[in-house]
Amino acid sequence: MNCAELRLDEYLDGELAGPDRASVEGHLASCAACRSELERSRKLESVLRSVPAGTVPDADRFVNSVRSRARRPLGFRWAIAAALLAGITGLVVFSLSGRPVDVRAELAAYADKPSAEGENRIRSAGPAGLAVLETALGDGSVKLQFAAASLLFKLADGPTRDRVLARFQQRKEATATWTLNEPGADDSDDELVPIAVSLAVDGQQRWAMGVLQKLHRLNRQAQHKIVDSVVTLLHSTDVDIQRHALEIVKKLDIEFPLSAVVELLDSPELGTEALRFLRQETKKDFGKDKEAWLKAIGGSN
Amino acid sequence: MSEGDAMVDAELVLKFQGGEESAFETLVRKYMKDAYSFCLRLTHDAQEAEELSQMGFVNAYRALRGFRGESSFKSWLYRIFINQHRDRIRRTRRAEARLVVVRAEAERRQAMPLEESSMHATELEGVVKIKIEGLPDRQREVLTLHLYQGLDYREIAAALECTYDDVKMNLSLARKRLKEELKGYL
Repeated sequence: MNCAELRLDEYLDGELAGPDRASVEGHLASCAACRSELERSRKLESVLRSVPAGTVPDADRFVNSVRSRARRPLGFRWAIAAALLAGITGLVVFSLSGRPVDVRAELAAYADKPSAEGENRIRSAGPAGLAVLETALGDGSVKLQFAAASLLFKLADGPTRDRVLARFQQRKEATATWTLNEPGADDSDDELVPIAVSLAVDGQQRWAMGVLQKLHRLNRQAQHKIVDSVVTLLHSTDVDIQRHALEIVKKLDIEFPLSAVVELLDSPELGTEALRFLRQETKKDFGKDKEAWLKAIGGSN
Repeated sequence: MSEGDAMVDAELVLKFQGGEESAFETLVRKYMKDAYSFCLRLTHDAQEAEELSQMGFVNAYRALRGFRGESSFKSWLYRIFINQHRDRIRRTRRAEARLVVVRAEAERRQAMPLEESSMHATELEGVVKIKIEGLPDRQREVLTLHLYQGLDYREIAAALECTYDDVKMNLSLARKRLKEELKGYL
């Protein structure tokens, strides 16, 4: 064995056994240069290991937090993530227990306005309903994708969710490079919309807003997708999601249908904010009278 | 990691897959310290490290029923943390930000009045962190898993889904570079 063939790192790391180890030791016994290199490697280990790891959090608190988060149903953010999936196209109508459920129609209704009743009807369709939802993830309409993903993550079992997420992961890998680049006017760039929207509701508004603004300016297809997805988020049952969506509406220089904001007037948490926004946008004031608002803005939306 | 240890993990996984939820808690307690310190070395931020490690366990909990034992539980778990971390970097361009955090921390520590011996220690700590942070991603991951988490080459290969030779090569490159960059301390 000569110096170039010496497997010094493996020797140092205890990866060699038997004759391989003996061979390295034999060489070291007769080669001062390699002994010196080994010594430098050991010193490096010692220097690198001298960096402390930091204080570990309290074990009980940590475990309790993991437990409660693990049992929490997957939220809308996961649903949004899943909505990015490309998939099979086309939805089917099917029946269960002799009672027909038009899952596609239910899904479309849910996409317009989520409701517990709609969710229950789709749930009653059983596994076949979930299959339709999974298929709908590849539907052309972002609005339907959001709704399908949201329902899928509420109703599906662990393995289905894992499978959906795995597909999402693959897709995200592929899109990762251009999500970090400046988006342009390429046709495919409108696929950035769900990513940017999901990041915007995930607390990374600054970057996401820039992307959405630019996409809106450059890409007509993206304009529709932005409006569709934000309106869907305004209809979410999760107030945090609604709050983020309202922020997007306020900050982006995009014309959103104000009727979706009017719907928020009932919200104990967001009603006041929604009213302030409507007053500012229209220079009118109907208080929390939704009907009056809808009538007033009807012509412009 | 001893074979016995891996067997204990495999048994706990089987118990969990059989419906015994407490088996997962045992695994969390066993690996939380390693997981947290690993995430801290990746992020240099205590809050972020806790979030990353907790979410890693949450994702492990959700995926564990589908785990078939192709690798050890430990390697599989590290793979989850690494994937999550990479995902975060991609999404938020944290790599640059982390370097800034490390630099700021090193500068802050250097500005603090300290005894000479501890001055040397903190300066060295800052320098080491910056140099490790400056390594290419794969080299940094391999080095961190090996040096601080104690994984052997095969376990690292399983965690990073690469070959034994990739691990060997990346570790060797990382050491070569660090020997050069830290030569004043060796």
